[in-house]
Amino acid sequence: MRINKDEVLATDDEYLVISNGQVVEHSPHISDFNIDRDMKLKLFYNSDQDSEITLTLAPGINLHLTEFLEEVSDGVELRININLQKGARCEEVSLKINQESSKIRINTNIVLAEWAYIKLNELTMLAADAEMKCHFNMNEPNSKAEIKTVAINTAHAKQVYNIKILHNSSYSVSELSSFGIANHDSQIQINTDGIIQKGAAKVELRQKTKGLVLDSKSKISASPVLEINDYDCIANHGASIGAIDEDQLYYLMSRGITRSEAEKLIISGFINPFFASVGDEGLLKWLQSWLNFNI
Amino acid sequence: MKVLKIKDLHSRVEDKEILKGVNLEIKTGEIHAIMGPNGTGKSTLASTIMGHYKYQVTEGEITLDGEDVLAMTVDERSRKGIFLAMQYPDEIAGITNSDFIKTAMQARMKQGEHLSLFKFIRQFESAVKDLKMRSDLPHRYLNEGFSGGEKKRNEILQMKMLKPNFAILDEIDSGLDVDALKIVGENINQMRGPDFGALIITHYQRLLDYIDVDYVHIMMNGMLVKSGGKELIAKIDAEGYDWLRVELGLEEEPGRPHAVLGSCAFKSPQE
Repeated sequence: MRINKDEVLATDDEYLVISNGQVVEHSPHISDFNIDRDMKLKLFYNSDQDSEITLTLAPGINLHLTEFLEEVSDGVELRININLQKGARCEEVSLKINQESSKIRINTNIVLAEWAYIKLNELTMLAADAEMKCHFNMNEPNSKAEIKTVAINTAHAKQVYNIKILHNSSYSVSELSSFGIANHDSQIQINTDGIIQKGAAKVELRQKTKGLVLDSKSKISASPVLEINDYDCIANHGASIGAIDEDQLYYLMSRGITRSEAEKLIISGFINPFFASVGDEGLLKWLQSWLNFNI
Repeated sequence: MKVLKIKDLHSRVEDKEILKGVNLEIKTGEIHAIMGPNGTGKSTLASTIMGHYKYQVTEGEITLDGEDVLAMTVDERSRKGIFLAMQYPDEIAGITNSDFIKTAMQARMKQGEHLSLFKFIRQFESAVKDLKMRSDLPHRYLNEGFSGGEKKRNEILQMKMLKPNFAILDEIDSGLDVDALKIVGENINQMRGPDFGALIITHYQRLLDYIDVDYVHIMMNGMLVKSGGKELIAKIDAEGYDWLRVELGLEEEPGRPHAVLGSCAFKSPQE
């Protein structure tokens, strides 16, 4: 099951198809990675060798970005850089779905200038071992990042997620929620680092990690780390990992819902906040059918 | 008319026997109240009827129109018409109230039947209005971020939507302010009818000021030790339970052991 570009493109969308770091196909009003006006943009990646792209958002523009990972060959490393200049805003939905058994690495590096804002909702469903890095550099004052990631591993594989948020400047804000679901003898490791550098006062940094383990052989581990080098900051983090809660099951079943339906509801509760961020009906349908089939 | 019958019910949690022979019969059309001091088994009775996994029935039976309730799973009990409004409802993130109640209503329908979305929305909005709840309730995640009072009202909302034959309300009055108490009481009263019976578990008279109760039972030491009418409520409110202990020759149950909180500076008595 793969994403079909024609199924997910809306009439007012701009798009770029990127192969090995180069634009190979594009819509009429965009041809490169410099975004200098408000738009809805969809990016489709495929790569059979290590590659890198850098997307630059001009000051003050609003971008609605949806990223799709298409085919990525075994062993390939993909580097994606996003630079948000002063006051730029980006609402991004990132779908890293790859059902081929290729081991991949994806490094995402996001840099925020003054008053820049990014809201990232990412869903990752890969069929093999993977190493994902995502770094947020809050380089200038009043930058803000809201990040929600959902990682689903049902592939009998080990997947590692390293998310680092680096507050280099005062009055910057970050909120990170990382969710993981592991099934079919799979492993997910979620490492979240929140670093407040010296000189970055009045920062707010919040992080939480939740893991749901669906069988006895699967594993999720979380390593949340905070490093705070300045005063007058708000910083907190927390992690909880476990099987489906028996008390929650009991509550749902006490309303007449069967055990299997109740389990489905609780699992969907992990993913629904992500779905709520996807405005595209066609895309939602595709995702839901994928999940029903795979979990 | 339907009958929920509890006969010589014994129930334990881990190694502790809590219910020690409860006998009770509730018919639809009747509202019963159970009162009693803390730790006498009132909530255990509610959870045992619903089938909570931590409670083990060691003796006795529960039947619903002659059918063995103890042989049913929790969800089957619910679909047969038993509802428990919980003292501490769970919070479940990511599931909206409306999706949850829709799923529960659909679960009650025969195979091939589908819930009418239009009817559901109309019924849901009406219940939200009756309970004076926030209009964004359908889109909020199940009990997440709810105040204590909102959680209790949400339990009553579910009861109104699911229309059970027997509702057990476990301390539904705790956490409610005076206005909310009145609203909840009125909504329970509205349910009264030939197809609805209720068992209200409470410590206090205040909820029962708003609900017309037919029978009152006192639970002590894991048993229903006295039954009567509304006059019992006033007596308990005025005199507490000690008179009953004396009358029945019951000893006070051993209290829960006190926990000692230590600190860096804590010194145990042996030192």
